Amino acid sequence: MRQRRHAKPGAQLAVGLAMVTALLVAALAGPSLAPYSEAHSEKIVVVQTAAGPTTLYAPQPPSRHHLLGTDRWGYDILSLLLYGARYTVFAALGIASVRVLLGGALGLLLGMRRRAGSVGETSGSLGGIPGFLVIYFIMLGININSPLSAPELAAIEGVLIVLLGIPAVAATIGLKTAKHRQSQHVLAAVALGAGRGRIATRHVLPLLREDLLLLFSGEVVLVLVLIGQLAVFDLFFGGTMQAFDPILLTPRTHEWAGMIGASRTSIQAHQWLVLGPLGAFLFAVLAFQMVAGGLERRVRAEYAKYPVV
Amino acid sequence: MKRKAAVLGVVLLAIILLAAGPDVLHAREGPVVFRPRVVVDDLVAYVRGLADGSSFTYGVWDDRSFLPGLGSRVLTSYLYMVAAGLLALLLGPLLGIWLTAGRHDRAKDVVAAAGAVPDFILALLLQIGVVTAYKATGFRLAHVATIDSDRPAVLLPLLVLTLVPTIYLLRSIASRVYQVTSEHYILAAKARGVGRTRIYLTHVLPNVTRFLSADLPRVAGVILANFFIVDYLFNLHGITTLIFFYGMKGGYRYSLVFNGLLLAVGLYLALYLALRAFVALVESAAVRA
Repeated sequence: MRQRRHAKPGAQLAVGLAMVTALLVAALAGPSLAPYSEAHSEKIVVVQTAAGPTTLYAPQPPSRHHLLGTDRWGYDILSLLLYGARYTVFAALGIASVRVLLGGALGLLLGMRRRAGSVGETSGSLGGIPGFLVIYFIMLGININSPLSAPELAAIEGVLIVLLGIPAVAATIGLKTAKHRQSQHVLAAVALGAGRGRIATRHVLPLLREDLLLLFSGEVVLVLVLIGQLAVFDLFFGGTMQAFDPILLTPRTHEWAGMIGASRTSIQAHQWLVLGPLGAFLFAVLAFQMVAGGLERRVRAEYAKYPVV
Repeated sequence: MKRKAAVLGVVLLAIILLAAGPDVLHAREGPVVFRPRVVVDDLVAYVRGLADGSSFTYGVWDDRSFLPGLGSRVLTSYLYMVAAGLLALLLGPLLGIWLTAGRHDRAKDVVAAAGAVPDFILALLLQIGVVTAYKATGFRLAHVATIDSDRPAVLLPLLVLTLVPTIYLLRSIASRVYQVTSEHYILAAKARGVGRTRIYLTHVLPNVTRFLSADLPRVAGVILANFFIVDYLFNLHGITTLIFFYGMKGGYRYSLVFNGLLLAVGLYLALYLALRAFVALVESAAVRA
């Protein structure tokens, strides 16, 4: 049998983890790393050139002073991204962990009961309804020019995203639990008189560790994408501000998906308005995707059977 | 049959609840209010409006009917979705088997990376790419958005719409192939000296394609969700703006969103049937061949 060639085992995981570390640094220390303060804006600047003083109007394209350019109101885009990193990174990590924690517990509980198929079936029939549609119509009434604060709105939306994701996580873990319950060492433990609680915590849970980690990094990506899709429809995480005459929708926080949503029409002129946030968001998605892919490869390498042809 | 009716009932209930959402929980008059009762009020008003036709109008200051142009919106949506679905059904399984059978590790990494890019990011990147290429060379590769019915954007939206379900199918098929080729009966066939091509044709393929029809509801769901995003970003004049845009402009219109969501369910079912018919057609052709 020809040994399957693995492109440097662990390399993908290492790169992914390095990218995640960079994201965490940006989220934790973003404001102190930012070249400009959140309130610093250069709507009109007069610069001295060889030809004499020149007036520059916002938005300014990327330059030595503003690496990613400035937005329509003269704010430095790089600084805004560093200020907004907290919202994007911690929201995704927090929501994904609660999803995996609650969904995992529910899945373990259901998997330890007779059959685990029931959860999967009910969530399966509703799987056709796109997730962003559900969140959109619940949040729409309170998200625009809301009397609630940005953290309050973020918390409400976070809880909704958690609830939306629990059935899928529970179904996955439930199936795995039911499978592990059939394995030899569990049957042996049952024969020796181990109770259901002991089986779940001592015999099944340790086997689920990798699955839970893998599920977690996958969920982070799903949460990021969901927040991003909602932002496409101007439902920004942390609130939308609507100005009338002309109608202008802007995100309340500098959350990255919101910055994309607010600038998505700038694809023809002022492309840097959308390129900076787009790059940052894509970096975050790819980081967690790499971690998930790397973990999956490792789990597979350790446990799975290999193709014989 | 009973199960199908139950699922349809749940979906209808979900639509009733969702469409009423912005009326139940809102902050239009200042403080946040939550009135679950409005679900019933909204529905009753809608049913009454069916009789006098007011459930088919939208607009806040003047009541415009939403029926003119509706046929073209539905047809446009359906054509894009079916085209994407058929392309995905052709490309996904072929690429999935090719990738697993041929051990193209590099290609697999490319697919994994492409699959990781969310639909809306891909759409925006393609639009920016086309605009940048146009600015540099003066040559327009594709329309970045539909301007009017004579100049529709086709290439880019179809690309985004096809890519996501294709990668979904490809992954699903690839993991089945991986699973099936690890089985003992494949090893047994190999031990008896059966050739690789023959093993794939007689042992692997039938065991993999069986799962294809089970994947179809999911595929149709993926396409519908993607279509909302693509329709919105490329301005395709499909049904999305009924649900997400006209519905909230200057106030919330329940009837419009309710009708729009019903249309979406109808489109989903029609899409699913088309995909299933296609798979059945290919399967019966394969049996005869």
